[in-house]
Amino acid sequence: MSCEEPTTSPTPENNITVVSSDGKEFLLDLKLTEQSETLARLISNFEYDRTDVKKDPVPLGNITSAQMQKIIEWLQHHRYYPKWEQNDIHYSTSFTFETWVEEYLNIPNNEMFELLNAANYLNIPRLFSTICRIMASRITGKSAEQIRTVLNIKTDVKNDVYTGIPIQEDSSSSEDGMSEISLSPSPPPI
Amino acid sequence: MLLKLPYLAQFTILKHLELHDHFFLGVCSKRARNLIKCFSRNKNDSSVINLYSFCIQLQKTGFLGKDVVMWASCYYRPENETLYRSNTNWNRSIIFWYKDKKIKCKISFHSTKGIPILWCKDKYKRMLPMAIYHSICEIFSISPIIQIKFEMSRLSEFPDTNEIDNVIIGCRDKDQIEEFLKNVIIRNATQLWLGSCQLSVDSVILSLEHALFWSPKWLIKEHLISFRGQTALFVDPRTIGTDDLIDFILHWQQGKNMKLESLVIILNDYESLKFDKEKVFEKLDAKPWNPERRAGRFKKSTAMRFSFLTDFLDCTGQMDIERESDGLLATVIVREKQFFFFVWHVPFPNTSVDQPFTLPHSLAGIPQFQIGQ
Repeated sequence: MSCEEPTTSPTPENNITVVSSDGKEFLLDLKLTEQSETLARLISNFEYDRTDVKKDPVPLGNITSAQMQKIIEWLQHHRYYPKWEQNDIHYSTSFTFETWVEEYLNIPNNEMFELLNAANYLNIPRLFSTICRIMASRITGKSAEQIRTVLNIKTDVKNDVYTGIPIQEDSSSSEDGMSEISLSPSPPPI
Repeated sequence: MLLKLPYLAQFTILKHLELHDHFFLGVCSKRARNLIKCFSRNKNDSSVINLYSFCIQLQKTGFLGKDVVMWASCYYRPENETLYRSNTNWNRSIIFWYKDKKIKCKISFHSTKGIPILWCKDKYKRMLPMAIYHSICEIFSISPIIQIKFEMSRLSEFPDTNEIDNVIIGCRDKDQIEEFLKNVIIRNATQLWLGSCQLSVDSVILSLEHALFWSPKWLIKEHLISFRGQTALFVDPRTIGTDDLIDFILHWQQGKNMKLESLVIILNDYESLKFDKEKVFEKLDAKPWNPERRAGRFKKSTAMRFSFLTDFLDCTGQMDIERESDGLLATVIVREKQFFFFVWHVPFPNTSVDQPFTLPHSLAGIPQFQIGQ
């Protein structure tokens, strides 16, 4: 989905200032904050959408300036998208994303997880859902070992698969024997 | 990283994944396994080792099983060759432990099903399905009852267990299945396809506790009389008629069978064979239901599930016969295509569990009833 962006620019009256955890201030158009349920509720509660109300900077203690920058990029891209509805989530294992999203989320996994946490904190459902799908696409179709690498999971299981049975090496089994798997007897040539 | 996310994020990611992804995630670490356990709670009731497709499946009551993983050994079979040749990356592996043995498997993915195939050495081909099965039960937090579906021709690849809870067997060789049944303990239900082989009345097959026989072309009156288990269900027999029902009922009434709980026969709707209700009851000293002598609803003692178009355990208003020697009551229900014989060992059973439910996806859009918990 894509939307044409009108050429209007935000005016000072319809901005609020948010402050990241490292103290950097960001000027946010109120229109952009509609995508964040957390910010939208805050603005509504403090009536920051009224021009006659003094707007104090909003501290976002859980979000760094780098994350805030990234989030603003998302909000600006989706500024004129229709409001996200809960039933827009389609749980699927076929993963296709628009090119902009793929480029936007072409970031290391640790940054992606931090961004997901930020999207969860600010309650930006479209971003949250998109990151979850991207994360799922990086897990699906992988072996346990590959998943461990992707998600940086350190195994805490003594056996690879827990069966409750004491470990005793099978002396006749050699791991090398499986390094090159081959059908036995060898399959006939096709 | 995933494990440090809020639950909502974890669950949203997991919802996008397939069962085999959950399985592999569950073997990564104890914390990951706990996450999968929590996520999978109440989603599946049981697991099935399916030797027709060499898949381990997860099953929810009323639904078909869903494939989780396949297994294959290096032993050559034509289907293995296709699976083997369609894979180019043999660098992925996983280790299982079963009966003190370390089973190292290579992993490939099925080209159309998309599920992983775990390849093991030929000597572990019977252990591997059990090892995967126990792992799946552990990871998905389901009861480790052992359910196996297999064709007797694949007996050499039968999982390494001699105790089974529920089993579905296809077999054309009576001797082979009799030999098999002598060597395994079946704790609950057995479903059998025996083809057209002839069965002697002293066959061990007629001693199965809870048996469902599909298309028993061999079925004759003597088999009904000689059944030594608790529950029997014969679907689509071709040679059983009204006189056979009468003889079976009279034999039970005059005999001392203290074990039989229920015997059900379902005829094929498309065959001309029919039961004659009036003729049956002419020969019996049957009495209408007396609510003071037995409950209205029969309690089935087995977990075997079968679907009917009606709530088949409802015996209110049905006719009963009484065995003079011990006063035991049995309800006899005869319809054109169905025969039900329920013995009331407990006249007023607790029927608070095992109630019927309507199947969510019934054949031809007609609601069906199934017993389950």
